[in-house]
Amino acid sequence: MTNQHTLLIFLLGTFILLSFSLFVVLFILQYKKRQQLFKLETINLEHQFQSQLLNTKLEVQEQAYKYLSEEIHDNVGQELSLVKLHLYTLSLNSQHDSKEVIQNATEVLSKAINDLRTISHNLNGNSISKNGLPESLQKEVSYINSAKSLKAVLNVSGIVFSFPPDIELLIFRIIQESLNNTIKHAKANTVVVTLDYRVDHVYILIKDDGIGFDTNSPKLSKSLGLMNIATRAKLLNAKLTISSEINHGTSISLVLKSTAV
Amino acid sequence: MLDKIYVLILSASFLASVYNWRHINIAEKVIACLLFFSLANELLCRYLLYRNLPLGVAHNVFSVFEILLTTAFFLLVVNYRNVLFKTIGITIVWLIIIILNSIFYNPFNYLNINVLVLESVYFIGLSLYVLYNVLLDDNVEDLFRNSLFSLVCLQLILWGGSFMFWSLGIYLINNNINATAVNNYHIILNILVYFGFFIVYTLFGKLKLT
Repeated sequence: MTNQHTLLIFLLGTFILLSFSLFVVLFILQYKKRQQLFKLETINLEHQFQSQLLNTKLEVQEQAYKYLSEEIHDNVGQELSLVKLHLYTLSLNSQHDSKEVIQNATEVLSKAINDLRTISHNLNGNSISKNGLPESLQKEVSYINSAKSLKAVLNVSGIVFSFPPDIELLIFRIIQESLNNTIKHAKANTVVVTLDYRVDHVYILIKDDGIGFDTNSPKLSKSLGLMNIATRAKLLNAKLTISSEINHGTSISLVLKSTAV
Repeated sequence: MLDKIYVLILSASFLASVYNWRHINIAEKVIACLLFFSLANELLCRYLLYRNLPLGVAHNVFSVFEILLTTAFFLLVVNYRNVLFKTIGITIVWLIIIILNSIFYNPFNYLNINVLVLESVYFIGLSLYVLYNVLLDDNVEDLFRNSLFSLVCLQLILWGGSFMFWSLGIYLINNNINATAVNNYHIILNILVYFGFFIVYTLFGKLKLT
């Protein structure tokens, strides 16, 4: 082997080995980059799927509410009205004592009809899309006030803008759920609902002066009401904050960008 | 000139590793120790050359440390158990090889060229094994920010690029065939790789370790 051959082998060998080393490094970098992209895509797809699943679940739930609402209003309501009419007719043709009983029954039935109408109204999401969020909330607040067990106040500030109907419905349900929790568990005297419309977002606050609760309690994670609120907030891409202190009330705030969802 | 740059870069990478000593993990500390021994060996060789003494002893002794520390580094990177025990075992085997080589092939005061060729094969193999493990590991993410991966790649490039030098380079140098070019190639390769080490240790704060 001549010296020239040796030099050539040296150069060729070095070139091959260096190229091989670089190729291995670049191959691994490229492979891992693709693997990472694939992982990200999988996670994104999973998120999308979860979001769609939630959407579907909520849609089904809304349909069920709507159906229930229509059923109560069109059937049960009609039937109860009919009963009321019969009893009223009967009262005209009966003796004085039975008349009083019938009158009482009529009053109870009237109340039942009113209650059913209220339930129907609460369940039907169409009124929210028809009337808009602030007006629907004002009605909700009026219903609560009519019960006279809790004073509810609605404050709306800023220039009101509308979200798509399904978004407004979700926001309404979150507030409704929060108000239900206040009525059921808070033992509060007052609950204030604030809707603050800003340029690019809306700030919603539901604050009561009730008994509050321990936010670290393990029971809390199983609370269906709070879970519903959290799920809906997640679906809206809204920032949800729940803060509470025992004997110092509870406040639930929601920040939702105007471009959300 | 290139020699001086090489020593300068080697010193800089060692100092960078010392500067980040508290923040680097054990595998990186091992490489930092290797940088120290490389620098010490380089300075010792220069002194021996200046005194016209043979370099073989320094190279043989350095080879032992090099094998010990590099093996420990690779074993640590792949998360082996009993790293100390395994490293010592492997180094003992290499020590026997070095002694046998000095008895039968390259006398102790001469450059242990056969050992260096074998070392190249051994370290290339270890580097490829580590990289194979990286490929298999689904949890390894963002290799650009993984300093251990960078160090393994630098080892692969260093030993891959040096293999032919140890195999034929010494022969070419001894026969004065493009000796300067061949020698310069090896020094430039070392400069680039040790500059890589310097970058890894300097950018340590930005490189997230795994």
